[in-house]
Amino acid sequence: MAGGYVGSAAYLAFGGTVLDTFYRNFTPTQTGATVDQTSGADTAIKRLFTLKDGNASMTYRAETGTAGTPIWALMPIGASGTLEWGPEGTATSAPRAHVQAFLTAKTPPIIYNDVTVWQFSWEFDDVITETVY
Amino acid sequence: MPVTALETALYTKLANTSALTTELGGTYVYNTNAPQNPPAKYVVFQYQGGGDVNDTKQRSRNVLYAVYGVAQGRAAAAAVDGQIDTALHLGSLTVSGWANNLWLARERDVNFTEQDSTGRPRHRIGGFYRAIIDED
Repeated sequence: MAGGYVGSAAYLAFGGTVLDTFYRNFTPTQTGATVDQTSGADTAIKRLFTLKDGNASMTYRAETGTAGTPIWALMPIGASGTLEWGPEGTATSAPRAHVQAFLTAKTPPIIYNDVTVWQFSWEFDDVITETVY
Repeated sequence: MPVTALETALYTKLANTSALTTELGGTYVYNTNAPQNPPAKYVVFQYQGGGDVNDTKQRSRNVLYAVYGVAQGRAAAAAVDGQIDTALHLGSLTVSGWANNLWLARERDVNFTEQDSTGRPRHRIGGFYRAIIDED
């Protein structure tokens, strides 16, 4: 029977570091580039698909003290590793995606009257492998 | 129960604040309701709303409590409120089963007057306090 799923089931990891305990939002985006191959007789733009690309972003509720420091330290800017996500968890046959990626941005805003939420961004260094657990 | 644990922590914090109990003349701190023949000055705290945040797998709660001083005189109620404020605003609670007291702060003021069964005024002065706690 068809159904939906929610983020509480998700598995997320980067470079072997599990990130799903404190994540709030994870958004992987696949993109593709095209080139214009319109010729003189065409009446509309014709495109040729060329290279795949992608990026991902995550908001992550900051952890305090000794629990938080390793996550922040394990995520240095420029870090390269496997970014993996399983939106329905890691049960057998659940969908799994992974890709080599660079961590290209990390933002730690500090908010006076609320919990702090970090932001991380990656750029993919390969094609996403979509498989199952 | 998280609510019980938080209320126990709130009671413990208030009842063990010596400046407050000295102001009251005893450990006159009550959850929700004061007894039928209350002391001249006392503290009442009441759950107002809130609950689980559900924004990460890590469980956290964000709740609001009204905490106010009650006395027949406005100045006396205000003095109790002052001690409550000193004890709670940007303070901390030790909540059993919950590791992190992320936030405890006053948000709104409460100030109104009632009449007791004999027609004498009872002033209630205090505030709404928001507590955000994080599980172990």
